[in-house]
Amino acid sequence: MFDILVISKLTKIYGTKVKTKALDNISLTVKQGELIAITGESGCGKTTLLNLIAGLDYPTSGIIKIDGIETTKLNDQELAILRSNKIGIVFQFFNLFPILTATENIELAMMIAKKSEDSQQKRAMELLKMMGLANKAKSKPNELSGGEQQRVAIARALANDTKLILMDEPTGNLDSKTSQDIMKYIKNLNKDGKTIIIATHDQTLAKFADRIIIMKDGKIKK
Amino acid sequence: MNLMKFVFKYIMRRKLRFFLTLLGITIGIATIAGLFLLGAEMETQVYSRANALGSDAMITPQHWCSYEYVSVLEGEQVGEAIPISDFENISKVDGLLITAPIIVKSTGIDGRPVTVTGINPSQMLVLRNWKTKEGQYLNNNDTYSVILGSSIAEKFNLSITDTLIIRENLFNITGVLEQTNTNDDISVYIPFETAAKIYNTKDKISFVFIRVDDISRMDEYIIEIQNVANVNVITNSQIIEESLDVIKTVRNASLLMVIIAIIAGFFGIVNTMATAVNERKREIGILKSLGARNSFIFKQFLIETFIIGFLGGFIGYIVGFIASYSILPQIFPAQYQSFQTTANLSTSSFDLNIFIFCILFSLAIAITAGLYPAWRASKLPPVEAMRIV
Repeated sequence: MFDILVISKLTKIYGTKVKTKALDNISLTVKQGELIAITGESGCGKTTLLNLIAGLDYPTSGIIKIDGIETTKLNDQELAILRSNKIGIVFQFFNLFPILTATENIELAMMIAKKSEDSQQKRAMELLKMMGLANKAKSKPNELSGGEQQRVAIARALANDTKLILMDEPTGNLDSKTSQDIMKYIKNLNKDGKTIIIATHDQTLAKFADRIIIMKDGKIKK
Repeated sequence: MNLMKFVFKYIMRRKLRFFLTLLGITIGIATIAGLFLLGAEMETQVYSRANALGSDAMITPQHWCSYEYVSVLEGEQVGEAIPISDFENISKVDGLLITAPIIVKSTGIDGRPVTVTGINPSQMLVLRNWKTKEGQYLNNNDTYSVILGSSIAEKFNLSITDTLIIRENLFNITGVLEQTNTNDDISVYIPFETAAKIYNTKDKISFVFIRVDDISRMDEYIIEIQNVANVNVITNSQIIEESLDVIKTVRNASLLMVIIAIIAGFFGIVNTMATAVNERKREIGILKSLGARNSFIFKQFLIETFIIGFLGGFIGYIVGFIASYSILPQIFPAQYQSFQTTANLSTSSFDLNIFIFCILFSLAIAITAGLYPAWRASKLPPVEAMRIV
């Protein structure tokens, strides 16, 4: 299988006077179609690692390659294009726009990727159906349950049909039954060929993964 | 979904704040539009009234300044300072076809002030080319007779069967003039000698209209007139210049207030947009995580200010248009109100140049005010922006 993500000797240090090493010389390779769970205690560096993979922050040193592109060499503009075309992100707190309906939240990601309005609408409806939310298309986030909001957020991450999906604590804000539902959706996506990296505390969710990576103090423990 | 729709949804989320910001810039633009529209209308009025005088020049006391010339165009009361003896000497100057002495005073009709103009009937008829729509024009032999401007007759419902009391003297209304759409419509006219007597002007007159036989020799006539009398002679074009100076002075002074209003509007937009950037930090981070480039964020905020600027200019012009013909005359009665009295002002129309200026100026102010907040928003590091909960 093709290596969709290659991380080599990645280090991230925060602060100038008081320095905190959030990631310490991490190397990791993820193959296309894998479902990876990154677990570890709070502050171990899971979210920092996801942020660096997503190009939302710059590493202090090291290399990240996504789909063959060395992202650590890209500028803000190029990273934005990369995120739009190659990476979908799902957050713990859903991060939907309260002013937009479920459909519009999904369309937003495609608008940023400069897709036509017709194709946005068509794809958004497809994804809402896939997530079992066709009847909630016109609902705003405050009219949806936590699980429904997270399914909209997942649909948004899938909108541009990116190869890599990053999920930061996707069930962290949901009850156990809803978490189970979300896990099924995630597993189905993986079966459809998506490469998924999940940062999670949730050991039940981690067990769904093909591979579990345990982090401690900014290093990969296992 | 498109960017305009997205921005519009944000505006709808904070309707009151948007409205208040819009109000700030609208007030500034409305003031500018009002001043410009009024200024343009006043300039037009100055030209038309100067042309309507019918004379080639006017003889005035030496001490008169621009405001008195405006008063003449306005048909307002002015003092008397030219001795009759000087007027008689002036009348003897060769080349003057008409020397029409004028006294401008005021009286009250139904408790409202009305201008009373003392004239030489036959000379004024030649100068102004008046026509009567009712009754007869004044004869030079008339004494306690009065002819009314058309607006006065209409406003006070007066006709030739009525009488008028001026300074406790009973006057017969001999006729009503046809409408001229000048200030002639808002005065009543009595014989010059009668005006001098009832107002006790002590052998002095307000000013003199003259018409000459050869306009190209005006400079010579002025010298000759000033040789025989201590007066000032001002041609119609100089009256226009002097009156326009007054308008410009008033407008420039008013522009200072406008600048303050515009500055307030400018900082209102800066404040609104800076607050919006702070409030939306997290959402900016989310947009960036979805792949939004800096230019997308920049455009999003700039479109908001563009909408404020465009609407501010558009609504400001409309408000200014209405205000210039209703509110401002109440604020500046001396300079403006008298210009509002004639009927033809109500026909004033849309001015495309001022409209375009208002839109462009408002856009320039709003976009300038929005540049920094929009730039700051676009430069927010995504991770830092998303840390805000």
